[in-house]
Amino acid sequence: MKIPLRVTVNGVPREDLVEARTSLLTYLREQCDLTGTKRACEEGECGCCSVLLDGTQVTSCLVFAIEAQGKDVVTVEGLSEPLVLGSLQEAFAENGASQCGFCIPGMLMSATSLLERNGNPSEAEIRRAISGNLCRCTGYDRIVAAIAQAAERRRGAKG
Amino acid sequence: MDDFSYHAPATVAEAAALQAEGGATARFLAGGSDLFLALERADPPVTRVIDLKGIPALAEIAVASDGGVRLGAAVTMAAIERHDHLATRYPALAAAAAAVGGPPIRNRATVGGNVCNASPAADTSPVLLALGAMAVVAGPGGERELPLAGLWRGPGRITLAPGELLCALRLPARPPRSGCGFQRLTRSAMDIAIVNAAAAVTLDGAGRIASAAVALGAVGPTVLAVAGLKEALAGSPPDDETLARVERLAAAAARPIDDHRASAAYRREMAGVMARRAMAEAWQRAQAAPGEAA
Amino acid sequence: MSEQTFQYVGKRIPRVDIVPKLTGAAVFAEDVKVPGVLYGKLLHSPHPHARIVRIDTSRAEKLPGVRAVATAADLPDKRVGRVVKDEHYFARDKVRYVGDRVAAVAADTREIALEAVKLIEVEYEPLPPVRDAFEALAEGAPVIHEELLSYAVNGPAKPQGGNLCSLNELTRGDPEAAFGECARVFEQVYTTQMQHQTYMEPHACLAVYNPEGTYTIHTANQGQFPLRNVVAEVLGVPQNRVRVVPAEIGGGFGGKSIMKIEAAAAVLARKAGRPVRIVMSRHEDFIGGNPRAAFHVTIRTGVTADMRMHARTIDVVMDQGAHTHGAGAMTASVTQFGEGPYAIPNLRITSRLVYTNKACSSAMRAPGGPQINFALESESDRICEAMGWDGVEFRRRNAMPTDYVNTAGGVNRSVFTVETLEACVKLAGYRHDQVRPGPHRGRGLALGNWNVGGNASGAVVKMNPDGSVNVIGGVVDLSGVNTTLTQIVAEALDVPLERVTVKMLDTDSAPHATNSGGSQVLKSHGTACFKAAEHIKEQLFELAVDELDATTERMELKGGQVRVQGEPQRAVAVTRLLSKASASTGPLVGYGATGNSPRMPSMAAHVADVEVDPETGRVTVLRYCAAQDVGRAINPLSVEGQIHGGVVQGLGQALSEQFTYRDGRPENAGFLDYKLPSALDVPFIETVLVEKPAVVGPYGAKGVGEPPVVPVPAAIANAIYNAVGVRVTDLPITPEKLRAAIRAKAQGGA
Repeated sequence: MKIPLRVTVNGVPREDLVEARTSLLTYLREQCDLTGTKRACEEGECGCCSVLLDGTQVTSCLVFAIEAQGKDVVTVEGLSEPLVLGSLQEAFAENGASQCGFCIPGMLMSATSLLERNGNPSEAEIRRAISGNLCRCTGYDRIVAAIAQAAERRRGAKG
Repeated sequence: MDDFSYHAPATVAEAAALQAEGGATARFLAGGSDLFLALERADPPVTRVIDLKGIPALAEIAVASDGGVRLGAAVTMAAIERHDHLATRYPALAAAAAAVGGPPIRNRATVGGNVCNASPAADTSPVLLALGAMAVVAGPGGERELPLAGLWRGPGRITLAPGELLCALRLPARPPRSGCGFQRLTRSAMDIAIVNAAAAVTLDGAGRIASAAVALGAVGPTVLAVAGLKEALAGSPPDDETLARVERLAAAAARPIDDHRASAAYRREMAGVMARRAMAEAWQRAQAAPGEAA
Repeated sequence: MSEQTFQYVGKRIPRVDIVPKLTGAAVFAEDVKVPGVLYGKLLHSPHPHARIVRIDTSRAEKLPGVRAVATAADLPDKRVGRVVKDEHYFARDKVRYVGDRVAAVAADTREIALEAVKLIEVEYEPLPPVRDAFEALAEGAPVIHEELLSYAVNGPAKPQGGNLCSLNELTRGDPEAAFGECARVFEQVYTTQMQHQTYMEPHACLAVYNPEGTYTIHTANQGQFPLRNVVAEVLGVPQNRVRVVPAEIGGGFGGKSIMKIEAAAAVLARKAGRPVRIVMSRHEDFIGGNPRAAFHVTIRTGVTADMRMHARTIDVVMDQGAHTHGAGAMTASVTQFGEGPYAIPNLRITSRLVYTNKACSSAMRAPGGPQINFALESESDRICEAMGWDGVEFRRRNAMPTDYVNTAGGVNRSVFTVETLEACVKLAGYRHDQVRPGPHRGRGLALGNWNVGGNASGAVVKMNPDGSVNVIGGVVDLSGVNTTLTQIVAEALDVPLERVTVKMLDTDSAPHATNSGGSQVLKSHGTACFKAAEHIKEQLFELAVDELDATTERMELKGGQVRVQGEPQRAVAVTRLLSKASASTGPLVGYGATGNSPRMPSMAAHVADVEVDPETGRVTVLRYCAAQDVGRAINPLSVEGQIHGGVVQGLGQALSEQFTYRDGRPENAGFLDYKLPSALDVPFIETVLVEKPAVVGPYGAKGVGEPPVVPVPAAIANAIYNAVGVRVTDLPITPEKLRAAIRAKAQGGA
């Protein structure tokens, strides 16, 4: 059964027809052509499919696309201007926080969520914020460091 | 594929009617973290999903004048974790909510979903049970209340009839000199509970135990209350010997099985340890709690 | 190579390809878009061991939206395998594990494909499963490969019949006699689990059958050339008719150096006449994956009063699973690595590779390394305690020296065992400065080695008319190697980093290479690129001979000019030489290649500080120090990242990861119950890089990917022993297992 879906994705209003059963993850990747959000476990265990739904981080593999009706979705592609890195992404680049890169969109979502609520997170708070994101390459080390550095720079920029 | 339908009712009555119509093939959707996984395995297959998130009353946390709380069934774990009153007066519940999955899961998973999924390892369930929570159920006959334990029939099975809906969990006010604790044992930091335990205690004017409750998770077909605990501990001082008795009683009450996660023997032993630690946490809080109702 | 200051080598620069990874623009295999794509799904065996009586695909074929179905009937009757050719791509007569491939479908949507797979009727005659290696070796065990002795064999495997796929032995000196000369002899058994690579990106590929009868396959695989060759072999077509295009790869760790889904996608694409994408679900990736083999290690060590290990025997039984795949890596490596980072004059290593009805083990980051090291380094501590010896001094006394003739008969060059050990001990601090001593806290040390090498590879360097450079290689960027190669070529040609582009291309365009793995890409591609860059330099110098009126030996390349050394005014711009070349000999292309080069040891020394909760058995890692002998860190940011990631994989192996079966059926094929370390399970990993340039390797660099996983389980086990006085000899050291050991000790047990 196809249902009309009106949703804003990365600031762009969209109107699509979706199957009731389609997950938000599949909708974003296949109907919106936004492949930055990754499919890795489809059980909500790894965080690779994280997006922001009305500003709240969710694992899009466990959300029906239709639940986004009338809402705002932000994916990794919407975190910065195309081809230009935001301050969080720059911190990731400088710290070597990305190796294969597959977990990174989800990590950026978790970091974005954290820094919106807490501008001065401790190491423990950072680790807790990414506790739902599995990474097999980095040992989390440089990701934690990058988030801490991004937070510090933002505090500095605010003066 | 074609017969799968999604509904977003605006009222509890509408939601209940949709479920009654669909019977076993119709499921309520709150956070979705359990439902999505059930879609593949459910028998009969789920063909109707009824989204409860469009019913504002279900997502409310209402604090009564006596400090008791009515938690809407669709209140998320994240909302519980961050709620000041809950964190202060029911810290074990805030701790249990904070332990469910990771941050994005907590943004979606709901207390009602956790309770109605009826996994014996659910984290908020033992705390709610130990705190004397009542389940508020809406159905064709109106609203009724029942003790929480009456909701669970077995692993993954609840006693609600078609057309019935868990609306809220009502937590009685905490008496003066009360505390609650929650402990869980896992294989690694991010894990389903291998054993979890919640404890609630109230002390009398002399600092001895006036009332106590312990509930255990993941060691039986449902979350279990440790029977006879209040009688066994009444009048006892909060000391190591009393704690040791809590440990023994809890281990004896556990009815675990062997599975690929843990052996029954380990679970039984850990039920005792977690219960003891939860009780120690509870009475430490009770000793620090105000003497009169605040 | 003399000690010189470098401009680009040794610099911590971000990965050159980092921007697309941070913006979601990086194209992984599932992201490749092609019009008209069909969804492919595999049918896996539900039985661990069964005869196939009949396959009927007719109902699946008739389902609307199904465009093709493939089975063994669509492929030549041919067995493949890198070590022993024991595997039909689609099962023919038998299925040998839950996860074995039986058929595949391609359909318009994922839902139709899933439905179609269920409609394929397979009649099985179940056979008793062989559940572990000892059951496999027992008298009267069901035989998994009845025709084992008729299979073609590559390399060092020595099939024996029954379920014994290979029996290998390596001896030095005379251990039996030498035991008699020892002051004391120790014997212990250590066992380790099946561990899965769990790269975050499941196997995914997209295959196109082209009108001219060739195949194009976009995939996430660690080596496009080996993959191409296997796909061609399975399909029965010449290698030049298959083009493998590497997508970005979301982790491999050895688990993506096997061909899993590409042949199915290719056959389906040909039959359907449309492109086919296959993406494994996480569940499929577990059951159909290629985990690290479970080992049973019996180790016997004789020591003399002067703290020397004088004799040792190691007997290893490796639980291989249903087919050998890339298990050759293990067979060879076990017999090499049994000697560990030590010089033991009398040594015998015997290994048995055994078939069982489980997923096929294959290469996982240092295959065999951590399993053996768990035994070696647990024994080092056990021996030292019994003999009253200091653990650091014991390891120092027995350390393998440089230019050591190893047990396989080769010479181990550039060996820096003691330097690495001492660097780690220094970093950790003798008085536990960073970690307050406390009850149930302990520190453990382990020393490990891994042979890093270089496999045959070529690289092409092209210099453009403006002096900028394009580099072409044929492997994938698994570990940041594109960045490191950029630094190497920039250094060799004195060209700024942003004027060098490194690309890993498809098998039609790139020079031949073996796969990314085995810690060898840096050495192989690094050396090939360096040589190709040198080739460009030679050509530039030749072109400058007339202009500068000097011989090439007197020239240098600096800052965009070819100059006479010591006379900077006698110079000519590179761009001028390049236009001269275009007009005469043609544009400048440099080519460099290396053959398979002998491996050399890289040492890793680790210290772990843990705290144990003795009531529950939970272990917290408070601090972790890792020293590694890296030769030269071309990009320290990248090298440290490899060490962090390797250590955390090792912590998973030490404390929580295990892929388990019950009666041949996988129990935990998902992240809920296959416990990976999260950010809450691990501390920051402190590293120290020991940089003593190796005699071979670009700028003396050694590969770095595998050594950091090797000593981790032993370091943790040793730390736990020092914390609570209990030694667990079976991995992983789960809370339940440790609690049982603590309780047994308290009750007066072992």
